[in-house]
Amino acid sequence: MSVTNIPFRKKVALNLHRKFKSNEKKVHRLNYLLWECTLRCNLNCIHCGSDCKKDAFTEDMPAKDFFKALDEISPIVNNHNTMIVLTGGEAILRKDIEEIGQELYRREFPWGIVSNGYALDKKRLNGLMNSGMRSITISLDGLKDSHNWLRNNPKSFQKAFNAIKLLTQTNDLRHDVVTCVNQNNFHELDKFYKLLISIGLKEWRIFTIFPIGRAKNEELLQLNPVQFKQLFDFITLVRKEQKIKLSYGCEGFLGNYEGSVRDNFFFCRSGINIASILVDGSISGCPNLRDNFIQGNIYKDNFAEIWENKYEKFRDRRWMKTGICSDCEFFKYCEGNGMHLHDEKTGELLMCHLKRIEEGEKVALNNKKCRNYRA
Amino acid sequence: MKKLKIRYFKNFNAIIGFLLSLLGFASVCNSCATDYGVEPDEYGVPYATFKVAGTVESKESSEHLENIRVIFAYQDTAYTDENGNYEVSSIIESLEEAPISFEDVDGAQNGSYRPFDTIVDFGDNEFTGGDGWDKGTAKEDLDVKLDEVE
Repeated sequence: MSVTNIPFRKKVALNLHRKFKSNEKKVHRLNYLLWECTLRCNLNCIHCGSDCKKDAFTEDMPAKDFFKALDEISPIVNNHNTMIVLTGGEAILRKDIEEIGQELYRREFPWGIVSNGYALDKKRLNGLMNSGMRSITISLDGLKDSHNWLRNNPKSFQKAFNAIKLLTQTNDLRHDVVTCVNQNNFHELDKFYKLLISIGLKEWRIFTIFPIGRAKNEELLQLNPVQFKQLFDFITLVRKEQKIKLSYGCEGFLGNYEGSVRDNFFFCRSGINIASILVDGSISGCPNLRDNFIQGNIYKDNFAEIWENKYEKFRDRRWMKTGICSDCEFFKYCEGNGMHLHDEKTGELLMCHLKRIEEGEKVALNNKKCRNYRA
Repeated sequence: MKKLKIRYFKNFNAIIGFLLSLLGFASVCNSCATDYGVEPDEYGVPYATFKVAGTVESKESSEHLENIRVIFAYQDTAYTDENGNYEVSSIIESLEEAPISFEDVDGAQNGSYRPFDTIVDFGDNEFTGGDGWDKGTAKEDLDVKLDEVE
């Protein structure tokens, strides 16, 4: 069945979900706050969407500045239901990361880290656990060669893999692996899946790399349309096997794959439930939304006032109904795809998941016809 | 006023969540940490047990109803016993309000009754019996009378 041919029952559910999203926008309760606490990084990944470098010129944001902003927002959030995620750069390069964790724990905020796993050894993990960390996401982008290619470092696979093995042996710690699927690791997904199961991993998320940052100029990073469609068939199959909880990342309306490749229907919650504080104090939706998407700055503005009164672009997305979205019958469900997939200056949509899957279906069908004709 | 508005939209979304679960898409509204604890992760914060207990009876005859299905916060399911008693609970970090539904699922056996949905408010509850990270238990009593299907 085609990706655009959505069964009646799912259409009814998607229409109910539209109303759900509309209500969520009106309530816009913040429950996920990302802090880009450093731009320093110990890797130099070829796909990196941020501008981080080993010797980033931008200094880390002092923890006290972040906590001032957190205290501003605290009266309007439920701290137990507001996840704080430390990201970067590589967050664990910060020497004061444990003190930051303890301070978050004292304020009773749940907190976690997104890491490349390169510097995460047992000692560091114990330090983070003792500071109240209960969630960590590690990037692992395929088998050894594929991962090392993407991460641009010959030791990165072994280090990240060791870190993941440590996590699977640790109690009271929610952890998952994220994988950026690309031309180099696409053909080994099945082997990689078996490897993750063999070490006892329970949760795995797959992302596709979107064309921003360094990824814009690297062809191997993008799946072709046929592979792109096949990826969703792979995710559907793995989910049915129930050996590991695999989900596709939060981006992209996926037509008939909605409800099959992740638990939730597509809903870009940026600026609705998700906010970010970037390393220079900028307040945004997700950390990869910069330039025209910046809503304020913690050094000039009150974070709570910004959250309550700004974010218009995020909470009313009718402005996205331009370009390829202007006459799309699925806009009512999709609302212009993920915010981060729009050009920061022009607002133009850089990638439509649905159209790419549709293209893959067409190419696969043509290839089949050609094979039949030759036979 | 603003609080009332927020409460209205949250209740509205609880109903949508319930309808979606009837359509077989129970988890599609999940993301991040939500009010109903549909993703109950313990990220190093205190947690608590939220419990609802009571009796289900017929509005017409006041007879106690057995085998009524009770679903609480999309997490716990229980069936009333021969005295119409039920108890459901959820262990999560925080819960202000949660949906609860009562449904006669055994057909004509024990009579036929209309389903009933409502929201349980834990806003003012006190916790008892906690220790360390476990803040204890907040309990709400909820007796329900179901309409008979004519």
